[in-house]
Amino acid sequence: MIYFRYAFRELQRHPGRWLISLLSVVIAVAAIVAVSSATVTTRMAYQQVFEALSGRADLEIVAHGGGHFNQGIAEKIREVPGTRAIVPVFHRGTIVYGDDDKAKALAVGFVPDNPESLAGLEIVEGKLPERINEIAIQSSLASALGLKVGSRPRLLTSSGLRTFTVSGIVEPETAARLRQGGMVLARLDGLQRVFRSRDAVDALQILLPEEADAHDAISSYARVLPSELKAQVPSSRSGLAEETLLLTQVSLNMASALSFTTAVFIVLSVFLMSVGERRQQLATMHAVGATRRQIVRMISAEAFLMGIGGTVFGIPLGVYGGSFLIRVMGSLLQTNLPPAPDLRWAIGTGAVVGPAICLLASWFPARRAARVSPLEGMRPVVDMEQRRPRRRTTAIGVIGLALSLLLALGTMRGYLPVFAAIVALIISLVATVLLIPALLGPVVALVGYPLRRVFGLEGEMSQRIVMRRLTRSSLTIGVLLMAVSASIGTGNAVFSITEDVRSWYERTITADFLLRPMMPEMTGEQAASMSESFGKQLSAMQGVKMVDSISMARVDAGGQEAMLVARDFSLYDQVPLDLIGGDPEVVLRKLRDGATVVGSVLAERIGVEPGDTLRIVFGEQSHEFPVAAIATEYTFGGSILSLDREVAKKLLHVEGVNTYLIQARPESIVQLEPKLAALADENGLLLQSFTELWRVINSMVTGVTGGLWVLLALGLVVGGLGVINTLTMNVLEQTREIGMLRAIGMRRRQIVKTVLGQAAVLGVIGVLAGAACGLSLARSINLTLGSTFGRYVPFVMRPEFVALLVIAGLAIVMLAAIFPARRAAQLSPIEAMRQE
Amino acid sequence: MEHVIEAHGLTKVYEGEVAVHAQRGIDLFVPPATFVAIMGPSGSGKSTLLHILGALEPPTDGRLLLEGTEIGKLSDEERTLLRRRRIGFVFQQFNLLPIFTAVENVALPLRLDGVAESEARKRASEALAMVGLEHRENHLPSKISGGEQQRVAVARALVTKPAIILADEPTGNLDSAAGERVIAMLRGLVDEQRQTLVLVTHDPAVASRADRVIHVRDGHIDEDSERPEEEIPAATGARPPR
Repeated sequence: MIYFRYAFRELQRHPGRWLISLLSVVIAVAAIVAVSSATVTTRMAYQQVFEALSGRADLEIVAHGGGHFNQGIAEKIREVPGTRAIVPVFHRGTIVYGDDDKAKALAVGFVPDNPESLAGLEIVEGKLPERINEIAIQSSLASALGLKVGSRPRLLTSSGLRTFTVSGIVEPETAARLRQGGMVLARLDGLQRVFRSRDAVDALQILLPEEADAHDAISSYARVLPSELKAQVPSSRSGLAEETLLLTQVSLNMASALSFTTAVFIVLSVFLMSVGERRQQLATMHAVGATRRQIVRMISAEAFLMGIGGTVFGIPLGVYGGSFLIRVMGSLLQTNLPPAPDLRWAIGTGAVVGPAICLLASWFPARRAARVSPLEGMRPVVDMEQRRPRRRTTAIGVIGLALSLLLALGTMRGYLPVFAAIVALIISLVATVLLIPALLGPVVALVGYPLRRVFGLEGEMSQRIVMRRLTRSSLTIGVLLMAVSASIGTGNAVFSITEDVRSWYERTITADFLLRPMMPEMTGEQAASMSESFGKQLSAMQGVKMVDSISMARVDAGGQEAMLVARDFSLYDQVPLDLIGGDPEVVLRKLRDGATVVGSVLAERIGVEPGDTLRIVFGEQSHEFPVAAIATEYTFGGSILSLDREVAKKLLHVEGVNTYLIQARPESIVQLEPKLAALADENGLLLQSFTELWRVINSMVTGVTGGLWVLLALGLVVGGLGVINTLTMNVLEQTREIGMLRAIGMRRRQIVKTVLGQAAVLGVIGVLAGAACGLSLARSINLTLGSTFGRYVPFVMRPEFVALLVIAGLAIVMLAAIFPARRAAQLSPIEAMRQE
Repeated sequence: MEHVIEAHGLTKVYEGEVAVHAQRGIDLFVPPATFVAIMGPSGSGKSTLLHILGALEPPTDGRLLLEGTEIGKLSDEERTLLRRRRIGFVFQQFNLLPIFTAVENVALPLRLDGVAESEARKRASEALAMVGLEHRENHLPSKISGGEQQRVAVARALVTKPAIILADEPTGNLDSAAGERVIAMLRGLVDEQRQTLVLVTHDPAVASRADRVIHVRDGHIDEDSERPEEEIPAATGARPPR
């Protein structure tokens, strides 16, 4: 307890300084809590959906690529020894229309006499559907739409809106539920009929005896399955969703890793200062009998208290930030995620992260404090810090830099997962900071030259004070460097990507209106499809210039899951894709002739180039297509294939229309919109105008960049706080000297100039080095993303952005210096000289 | 000008819960080329007197003239310039800047006053030679002994050719041999360069080298005794001016 009492007193003595550290810990905890709660929530939402859908199956039989296939194969599978049960899986996206409201839902087919096909659903009211026009509905969905047992809602199906009777209310046994997307349970045969997929299933789930080995079973099933089907463990179906989430998660994790590292550095520098300042006090404690371990415990207690403080304030901030992030991710992924992050996880992470940052950062200072010998410590301080950089530190820095380079190269070449890039980033930043002491001498001399010219003696003094406190100055420069380089690095990367997204949207969205049953589900589940005759009805409308029908299907392309997007390329004069290279006219011609255009991420992953051929498997169909070009794609994580619709229909049997793209005659756009809206309403469809889509994309981009600016500002403020901290400590430590200088005739103004000079040296080095590191960081983030996107994202170097950050960084540093400088100038010479 | 220092009824009161009367009406007149030692028990007000004489803090009441300039009428800025140009300080703790070498420390007051670096360095070297430390010019304070540090401080006090040198217990942190050397050097400055010196000390041996010894008690002058010249031990240690 004595440790905590001592720690409390110490915190009370310098509230300002500890507040700065606390703030940096709060920011780091909040960032980590927000990011992890957002990613965990997103991941869990997906996983729960999959779990709920795949039930407790041990294995599943699916078509390569995930298309549907004839359920007749079940008979063959049943003959394989060890098969305990087979559950046919049939899921279709739909929209449920209540009396006043509608909601997205997943229609799930079940076999009444097969209890396993209930997929973890429990009937809580009424009974399971018995007739084909009956459904059981998830309770949350039922209450959202005001449906009860006996209600007669309509469901959007491939054969139009169909009316069903609610026979019961179901509840998932697990926590799986989506906010809007509930589940609707109907008889398998009924669903197959209204979705025009007679006898078709998406998968067959297999239950094995408990002692069975899944891998052995997979090979025994492989023997009886036709080539287009495969047996696998159910979880691998979520591959496409994982891909979709990966990019966002990588960038978010990068941001939280950066804030974690920055916080460690700030706390480290504060503890180093505090220990240095309390040298005599610690020596006295040592002299009166405190053991080294006790001193380490005392410092650790302070760190722990600060960590707890950081956690207490950081978690609520993080939870708030997390819910914001979840909203942003929801809109980025065009899906609905549960609004509330998983708080247990957030609190757990935060509770660990805060103290971890502080204990980690205080480890070195605590050891240093424990090493102070009583006699040495009580002597007046003349020159307590070593002036030469330690060789070991420099060596570790060089090794770290080399290691991070290797990791980055490995990621770029695709040998390592993209998360290795985050590790590389952190290692490179820490290594750079470790190298600062070795480089500081020549750099300070260089920066000091103009300073001496402008500030004269004061400039020279500032330069020497900076060099005298090598560790402290290096840490301050390190904090600035991190803040600025992280800002420039992530900023530039975000700019590059948002620019890319905009240009992609501009090229690929060529219609004035989009008409579709529901927003595409990122899980890649089959969306409800519309009838083709509806397209003809649309084309016949007055003012409509062109109607493109898009069919989407989950397929297997060269062994990878992908989304096939089939559209009528014969309607276009210009290819409506964001091609990477290739003559657009030739590509368009080839597309019409049956070639495919592959999304860059997919192309990179399966290693295809224009001119190659690619085997696409959809259900029982399979065909080789020539690759006409590679294109930028963002939806479905870039795993997209484009084909002409007629070709897809003929060769792969891809049926139905998922989206109608409507181009209006320019003069009729205004008149057409209400007519289309009425039609959409009548048929339970979603109408989006291009301008509306643009607005969505733009607001998303604006939201992302806005959030970025807030992060950048926070980063710079933290850097500024670090400078205040260092300069205040420098001033405190030089109090006697300042008193003497005032006594022998140094003006207040000259004192101010000396302190500002120190800030200028630290600021110029930290900010400029940060800008240089930031640009290389931006470049490597860009290259790393390149390997993930499967193509080179044009590197948008924004000199005005870099210049703005440099100016803002320097301005903040100089502003931060004003307070300690004024404090130094106000010192009374006599009082100052009395200080020990 | 008859006196370098003219003090009329100096009082200093530190206000607080209990007002502390550090000076209670001190009159003091110091002619040029005099070595004045101020003695007194702890808390008697001798250091406060030195601070007031050094324009480091203003008196609460009374008039103080340094070379005929009335200190009370000066602004903070003007007092700073006066200290820089006309007063040299020597402190018990030496108070050298650890970041500067000996010669740079000595050159500091000149450089603060805008003297060009080369000129300031030349004059600092001369001052260092005067205290016998030309071989320590480029040493940092941490690399030389306490006695040498104090001699660097004396050289710094001398370098501007001030009207008056104020020394606060300059031997307090030195061993007797080093202390003797510093005092002999200060004595030599008064004798050979006609420098005016006011020195605060507890040590009767140091005071015995002064021309005049003032005893302060409870904020006023208790005793002011001039010593006949023949009683004062001769200066050793300082070199003749060039």
